Amino acid sequence: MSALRPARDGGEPDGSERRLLDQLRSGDERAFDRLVSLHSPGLLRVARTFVSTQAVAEEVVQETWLGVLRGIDRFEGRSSLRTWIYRILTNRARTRGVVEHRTVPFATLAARELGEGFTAVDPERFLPADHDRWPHHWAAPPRRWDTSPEAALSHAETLRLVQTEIAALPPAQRAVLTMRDLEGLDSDEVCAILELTAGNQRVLLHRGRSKIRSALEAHLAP
Amino acid sequence: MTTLPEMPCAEFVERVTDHLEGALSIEDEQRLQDHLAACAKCAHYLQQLRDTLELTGELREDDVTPEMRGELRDVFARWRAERS
Repeated sequence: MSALRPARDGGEPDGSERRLLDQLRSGDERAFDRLVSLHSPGLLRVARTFVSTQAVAEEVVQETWLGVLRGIDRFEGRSSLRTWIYRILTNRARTRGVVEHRTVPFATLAARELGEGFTAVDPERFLPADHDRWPHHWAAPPRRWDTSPEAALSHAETLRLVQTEIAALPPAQRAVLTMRDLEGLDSDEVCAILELTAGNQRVLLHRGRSKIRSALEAHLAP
Repeated sequence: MTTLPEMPCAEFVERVTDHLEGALSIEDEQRLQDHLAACAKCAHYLQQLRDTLELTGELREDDVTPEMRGELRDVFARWRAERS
């Protein structure tokens, strides 16, 4: 199953990753700083999808880095370094979530979301199945939205809207969309980190993206 | 040659992520491409999704706060101490 196959694609070439590992193992603080700069912003955003406050998310990220350092000698490169770091993060975040008594296991959240009905677009916006010429084609097509400086929302407001909509997504969709579309992780990595099948990962991504598009349409082209 | 069944707009909007992910079967990819070539509304929908992805990507901020960086340097120093 592809979800169990570790990804070999950390966004850095193997050679530089190996060099970075050697530097870290020899206690090179600059190498650690580089790795921290590269991954901490993404780790924080993903941690935030698992725990209730920014402060707890920051603690989880710190614990993650300690876990990375303590485990660095055991890291064998079967997955990319990035996948391995994110897996440590999700494990810590899960533990914290349990301590906070708020998280249901991720698999349960994902299953719950996957079990819900969903349409990317309100079915009312398509012609009925018995339409004589164009069944299931657009009745109310996507409205043109304007992202120019004269638009209804400024660019900053648009970005804030996207941020708010992502925060409002159900947790599994939020985690997948954050990893894929904000952090730029690829689907194999996300499947390995969140222990999702490729198909379920795509469904969650599809639902998340479709909802953000709908919200943008509603606000940019009311 | 058998003709592939047409992909209506309502199906297009549900398959578009699989298309972007390269996960459609060869037949469904062909149906989607045929539909896209004929339907400006769905082409527009696809463009809106691409705009959405671009906007989402812009939320990426790559700053680590100085406080956090300081704390992580401490984490590193402790680790190096416990290692030696």
